[in-house]
Amino acid sequence: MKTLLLPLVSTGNVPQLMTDLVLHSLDSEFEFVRELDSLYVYPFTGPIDYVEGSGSNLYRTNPEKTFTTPVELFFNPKLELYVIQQRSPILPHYENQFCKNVIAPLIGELNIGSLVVTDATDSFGEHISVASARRSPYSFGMCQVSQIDDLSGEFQQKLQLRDVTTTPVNETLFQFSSQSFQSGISTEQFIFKLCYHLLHTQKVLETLKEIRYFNIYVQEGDNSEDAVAACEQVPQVITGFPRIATLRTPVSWNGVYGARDAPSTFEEGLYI
Amino acid sequence: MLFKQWNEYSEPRHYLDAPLEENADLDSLQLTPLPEVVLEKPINTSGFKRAFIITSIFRSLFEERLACAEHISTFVVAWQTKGREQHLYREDYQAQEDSKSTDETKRLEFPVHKLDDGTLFICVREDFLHVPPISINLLSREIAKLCRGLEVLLFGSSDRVERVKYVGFPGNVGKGLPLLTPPELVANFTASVMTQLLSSKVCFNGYVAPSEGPSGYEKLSMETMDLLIDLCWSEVNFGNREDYVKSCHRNWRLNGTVMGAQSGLYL
Repeated sequence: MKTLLLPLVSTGNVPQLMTDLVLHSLDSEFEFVRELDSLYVYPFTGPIDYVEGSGSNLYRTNPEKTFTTPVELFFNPKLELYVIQQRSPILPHYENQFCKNVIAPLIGELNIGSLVVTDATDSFGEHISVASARRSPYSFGMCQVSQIDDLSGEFQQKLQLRDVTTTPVNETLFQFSSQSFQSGISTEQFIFKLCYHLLHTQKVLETLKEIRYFNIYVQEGDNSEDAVAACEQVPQVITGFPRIATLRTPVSWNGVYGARDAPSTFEEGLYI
Repeated sequence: MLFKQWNEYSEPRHYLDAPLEENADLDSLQLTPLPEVVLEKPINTSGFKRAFIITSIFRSLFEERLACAEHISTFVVAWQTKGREQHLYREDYQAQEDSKSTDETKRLEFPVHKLDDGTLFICVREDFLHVPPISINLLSREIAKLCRGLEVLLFGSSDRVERVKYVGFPGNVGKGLPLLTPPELVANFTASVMTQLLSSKVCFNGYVAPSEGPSGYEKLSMETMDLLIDLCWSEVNFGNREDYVKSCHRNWRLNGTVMGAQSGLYL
């Protein structure tokens, strides 16, 4: 069964950093497939990223490629794992289009059976969090697509047929593990929109068996350590994924957190 | 003096919301309509060899030429803003009972000029306060379509580079200038049009200049400007170099895109 890993741009960019670690630590196994439509995300272009001293390169199959673009697709044939790296956030108000026009057709086209969504959050409403003391900084929810009996029922709270709370919550779409810090998903969360559009696309329903939701509780700051810790959890989230012995960071991580040279003249700017 | 913590909620850094639209229903499951981008009059590009694409801070480099350039068409971007409730207040600041909701159509025009016999010229004015990024993305896509088969020269800026950098496709060869290195990056219109040119496989050469300030309100340093004048003069035949340098400097000051002591501290 083919798997697709989708990191959502969220608090501290932890899912992106985690994806960077996965891709660059296993850069000899992953290969660049193609650029995905970036119409619905903030514009971004950057140089090709790489690991210092590494003999391999994620883009070795495409030597013509000299820039990274906002949304790119990679594939690991050994693990039958596709990975999306999304380097800029989705434009406000266009999340629905991104789900419907970019992700849903891709799942149908690649015959994806398992979708793994990684997310990060720094605040959680009482309406979602588990009542007892938080046991783990990770939350893992599973949605078995074939076992959804009443599709419209799952989303009817959003349709305001049963809108009794100010922030509608869905507690049935995902079954969260006992260690999770949340028991349901809020309709404000991107994952809710994603599920809605995927489960309303016929081509997706023909192939997709499950959606796995992996949410990480973090505080904003230098989140590289959070990403390293989250990487340890990946084998539990993606079936058959190996434990990575040595995590390797790409060169773009150098200087991200305040290592820019101090300005020496007025013209270089007042602030670092 | 007592400092109060007025704002207890700190917005996460990845929320890049420009103050463009106040649409309260952010968790809507409906698709938002896309802006419309049309080229008012079709252009037959077979008579052209190259296209210059710049953002408005680089306009001063071409000002003299543009004065006698022919305006051949216009990209029109139009979008509908959702009815925003405007509360009307009486003189005593009490809200009146009625509030009016207005649906507005916003419209932007980006002219396409014929700079000389074989050259198209497109200058895009960015403005993060008033131009939604989706329209910039759509405009870039249309510009890339128009430029198929042409050689593009791109002038863009980024606040994430330290020096003027060369960008190009195919082959990112440098032309004596440094290339982008991680973690440098380009955003806004320059990135959008680069992405579209790359995905349409349009050949381009370009320069990304270091700038400061938000999209549409950037400032460049004098050193950067002098280097750009040199680059532009060697790429385009502008005649007498001294005259060209003088006119660029003059226009640059007039447009207010210079940063630093040279531009004057006070107005």
